[in-house]
Parts: sequence; structure tokens; C-alpha cells
Amino acid sequence: MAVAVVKLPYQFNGLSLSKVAGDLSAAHAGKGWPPEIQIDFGNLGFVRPAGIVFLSNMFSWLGAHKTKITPINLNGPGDAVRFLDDALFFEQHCGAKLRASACPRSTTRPLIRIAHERCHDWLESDLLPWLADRLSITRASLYGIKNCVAELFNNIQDHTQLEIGTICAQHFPRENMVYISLSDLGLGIPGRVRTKLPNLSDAEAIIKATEAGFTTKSVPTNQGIGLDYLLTTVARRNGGIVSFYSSNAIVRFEPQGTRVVPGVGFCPGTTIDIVLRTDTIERLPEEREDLEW
Amino acid sequence: MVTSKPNHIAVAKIAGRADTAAQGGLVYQALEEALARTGPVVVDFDGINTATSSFTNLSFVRLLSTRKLREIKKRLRVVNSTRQINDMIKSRLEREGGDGKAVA
Repeated sequence: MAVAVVKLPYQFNGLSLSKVAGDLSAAHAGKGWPPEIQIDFGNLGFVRPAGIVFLSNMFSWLGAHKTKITPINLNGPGDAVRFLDDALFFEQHCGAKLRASACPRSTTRPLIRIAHERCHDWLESDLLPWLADRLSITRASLYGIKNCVAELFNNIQDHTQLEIGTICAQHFPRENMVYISLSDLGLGIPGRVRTKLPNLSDAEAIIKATEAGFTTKSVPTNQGIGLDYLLTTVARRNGGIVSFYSSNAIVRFEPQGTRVVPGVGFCPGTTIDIVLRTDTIERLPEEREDLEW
Repeated sequence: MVTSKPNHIAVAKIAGRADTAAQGGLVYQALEEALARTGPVVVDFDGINTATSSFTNLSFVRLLSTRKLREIKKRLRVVNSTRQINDMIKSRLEREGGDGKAVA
């Protein structure tokens, strides 16, 4: 039996990858998953953190179906595969780097799977100092942004029963942007929301999940504040964008409003992509302060 | 002998950090014990930079089940903190108990 080949798109982002995952799911979910799939990297053009994290989730999703993944055509002319290698994608998913010299670039925090008990330490000791150094600003200026990611890590633990999240970040200095992408392989936001509101579409469920005070109470003490905090900090204060990829929906929260992306395939688990403007981050001094009621 | 600083809660010493609901639960216990005594209660965030909503819900917001917001404001002093922590505590308490209600 011929091994199925999945050709990765040139435009390597969450939307195009969702179509790949959707095609895979449609082709195999009904009749059983194949023992092996080849992933063809030959057409790969450009990749951003959401694409890396989404692809990582797709590899883990196929692995969960006991499908062996063989990457092929890794020697193309472009830089994207080298970038993935430097982001430690192949080390994580194939057991070894493609090039011995591959190592994280100064503009990135490489793809990493973090157990919950380590995630807050990683934020404090890795992401925060890296970002402060990249942007030449105080760490205090980034505490709100750091806390957004901490809220997402807590959500993964509260809602998915998974101990692991995957994260990757990249600074684009010429665009004045920082991308932080995070994923988990849980049930997905729509599936969780529909345990409480069964009639919502996938996109409606994602929007509902971001409302302050809405919670599925997967943990009794959860008050449904984390995602609203994320959107307030990024889209309303920073002027950035937050995109949610989950099940058959992609929803973008932008300063101008909320946009449901059409033509989505399938997004395993949940991927959340944070795009921050670096020119609107308020510069704060490294000073302690008392709370004034 | 008088114990020094009986109503001084050092969050770093009690909970290590302010990231999780479990850490919030530890601080809540200390807050309840301190508020059961008389006088102001000082909550010291020295060494801690951020507080999540899960931590804040389980430490500060939970106090609203037995106390009104104005009593909490009158008795609690939050010191050595950061803007992020202060904004989180204030916004969560005011959202859940802003009209003077006790949540219980």
C-alpha cells in the first residue's frame, strides 16, 4: 500500500495548515488512520511562529492516532526548513536536528514543550528576559504581557487535563512586532463551550469563551477572566492581534473588532497566536509600588 | 513577648509566587488569619512581579464571601507590588464586589 503524502503549502500559516489537517481528517477519520504519512516540506516558503506551533500540534495529533510521520524533501532551496531546524522543530518531533549546527536564533525562543509545573518558571527566567533584552526595555514594561501567557498556561491545565503546552516566539524588528504562539492538544475551545451552550457554532463558541465571566467551570474556582485579560492587554491596549485556532474555526481579535476567518479546515486542539506591537508597549520603570485603592 | 509584624503577609514566603490557584489558596489562609485579628493587614509582594487571575480569585476575591469590599479596602495594604499586580487585584475585587455587596 502506497504511503500517503501530505504536501505542505508554500504559505505556512494556521489557515493553510488547517486545510491540510482538514483534508487529512476527511480522508482518514472515517476509515481509520494510516500507519504512515510522509510530510513533504519541498514547497515550503516562509514560516511564522503560529505555523510552527500549529504544525507541531498536527504532528502530535497524528502521533496520537498512531500514525508514523516521515518528513521528506528537507533540502529545498529556501530558508524555511533551516529556520524550522533552528527553532528546534525537528529535534522535538523527529528526535534530532537536521544540521548539527542548528541552534536557536537570537530573534526567537525556540519551540518548546513545557510541563505545567515548569511553565511559570520558564516565563520568568526565559521569555521575559529574552523579550526585555530584544526590545531594550525594562522587564516591568512586559509584566502584563507575561501574565497573558501565564493565564493561557493556567487555562491549559484547567481545561484540558493535559500537563503540556507548546510555545514558540519570534521578534520581527523591522516590522516592530513580536509573535508568541501557544498550543495544546486538548478537546478544543468549541467542544468545551458546547458542554454548556450546545447550539453555538465553533466560531461563536470561541467568541463566547473570551467574554469576561464566562466559564465552563471545568475547575470549580475558575471565573472566566484569563482570555478577557489577554484580549484587553493585547488588542485593546497594545493594538495587537490575538488569533484563536480551534476545531473548525479561526477567530481574530483585532483593535478594530472581531473577525471570523472564512474557509477554515480543521485545527487540532487549540492554537493561540499573539501578535504584539513593540512601539506601543508602555515603558515602565523597574520600581515597586504600593496599591492605591 | 510580642511577635513582630503579626499582620504582615509576605506572599513570596507563603506561596513562592502568584501564578496559580493553589498559591492563591495559601495566601487566602494567611489573609483570613490576619483579618481575624485587629488592625491593618499588610500584603507584601516583594520578589513577585506578576499575579494571575487564578491566584487573585483564590486569594483576594474569595475574601468577598465573608467581607464587603469597603472593609477589605480599609484593612488591606498591598505593598512592594507592581502595576500589573495592583491592576489585577483592584479590577478583580471591584468587578466581583464593586457595589458593596458580599458575594456569599
